[in-house]
Amino acid sequence: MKPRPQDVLVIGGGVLGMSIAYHLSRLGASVTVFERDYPGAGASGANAAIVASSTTSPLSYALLEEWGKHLLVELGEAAGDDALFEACGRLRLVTEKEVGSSVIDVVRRNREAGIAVQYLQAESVEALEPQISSAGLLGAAYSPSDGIADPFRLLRVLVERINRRRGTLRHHTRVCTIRRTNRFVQVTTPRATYLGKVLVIASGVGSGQLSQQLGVTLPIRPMRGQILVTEQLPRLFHHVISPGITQCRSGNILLGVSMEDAGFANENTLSVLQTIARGSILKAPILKTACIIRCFSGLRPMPRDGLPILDRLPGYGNVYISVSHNGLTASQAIGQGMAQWIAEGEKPHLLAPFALAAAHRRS
Amino acid sequence: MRDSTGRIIICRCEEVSREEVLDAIRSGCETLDEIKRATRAGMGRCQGEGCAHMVAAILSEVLGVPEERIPPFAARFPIGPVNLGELAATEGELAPGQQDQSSQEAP
Repeated sequence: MKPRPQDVLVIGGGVLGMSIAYHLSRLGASVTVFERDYPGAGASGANAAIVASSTTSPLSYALLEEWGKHLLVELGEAAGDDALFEACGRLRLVTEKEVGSSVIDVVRRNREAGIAVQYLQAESVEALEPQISSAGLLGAAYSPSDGIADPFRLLRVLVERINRRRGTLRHHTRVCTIRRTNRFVQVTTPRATYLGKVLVIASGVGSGQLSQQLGVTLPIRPMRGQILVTEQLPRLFHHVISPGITQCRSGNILLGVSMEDAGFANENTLSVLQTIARGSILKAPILKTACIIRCFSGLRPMPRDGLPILDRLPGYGNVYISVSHNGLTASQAIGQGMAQWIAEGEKPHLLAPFALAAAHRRS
Repeated sequence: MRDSTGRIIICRCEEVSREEVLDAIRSGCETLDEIKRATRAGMGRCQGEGCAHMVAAILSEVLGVPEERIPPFAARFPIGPVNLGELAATEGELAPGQQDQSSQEAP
């Protein structure tokens, strides 16, 4: 017997897929999420946990992330979990290597649009973060409302809330094929076939292959990011330091800013880890004696122009795509916006700039 | 080992209890790596040296799978804690298997 058609099928249990499913379930839709491994097994669980909108460009993307940040605060408060998102503030360092950098222009533009950010001179940066080396430092963009999210806590809250409503998470369930029938979209897993009125592809680096099954090419490629983790240390940094230093609430420090096109190879490489180590010591010499206990890497889907793709697949009225290189900050804004679009039929204003055709044009 | 509130502590580095490990398994975790991400067991300074065996024993008991059939935590660099300064000064390459096998293919 075939299961009853669901309102929406979502492929991908990362922060985007789960956020879309959560917001759909809030609107009363029946939702099934298919996750190949477990929530956060992909890029959503392998990043530096940074939530930041203050130095994002273009402004349309910064505003989407700003709204996402606001919704993350609300979700953390509603869940009574103050570690889900912690607005500890962030400093985006600007060094002599970036003379004439556009960061200052971006700060001005974002600030005018109402995002809490200002440009600080080097002396003020040193006062806020004494461990940051002043060598070559020109200043920093400072935002008090950026911060750190714990993607696994976020995902846990989303799973609980989806389960409480008309949602089902099918973890350890790989989607083999998707195809369109007369009225529905049909998803086949190794064990069963599912029908949905609407399909959402939110499978990170796997989204390209799935869209290809429907004859649509996405302008994305996998981008590998590697991160080093220190032992738990006393509080050395009070803010997220971009690029590349995040001290989590646990005391562990995440170090890393790497981005490489290495296909689908998701390993760590010594040369990149060494580059991260050297760069981190230059930025904060005290880290020289910090113990590294682990490293990890993640494959993030990189749209060719760096902006999220949030759209309906051309030629399909009922198949949606949602991929982003950094999905954590905007996750709730994307989830809310996509859910509203699917439920009410009109693409929300905030999502309008992130069209597939635009991504193709820009790349 | 029990803590002051009587909980049985499985991962001492991250203070993760047996009950938390069981919760993670009930919510769908099927491997040590999944339990690690859900609970932080094995994420501390000893990187699972102390708790991998106990987490595997619990998983084996709940899933009814022999313990020797449960794969260990994924091995990652470094095998033991290493100073960032030492890493920055290191020469050489990662052992095979930890290496980037795609470097030739990358553009």
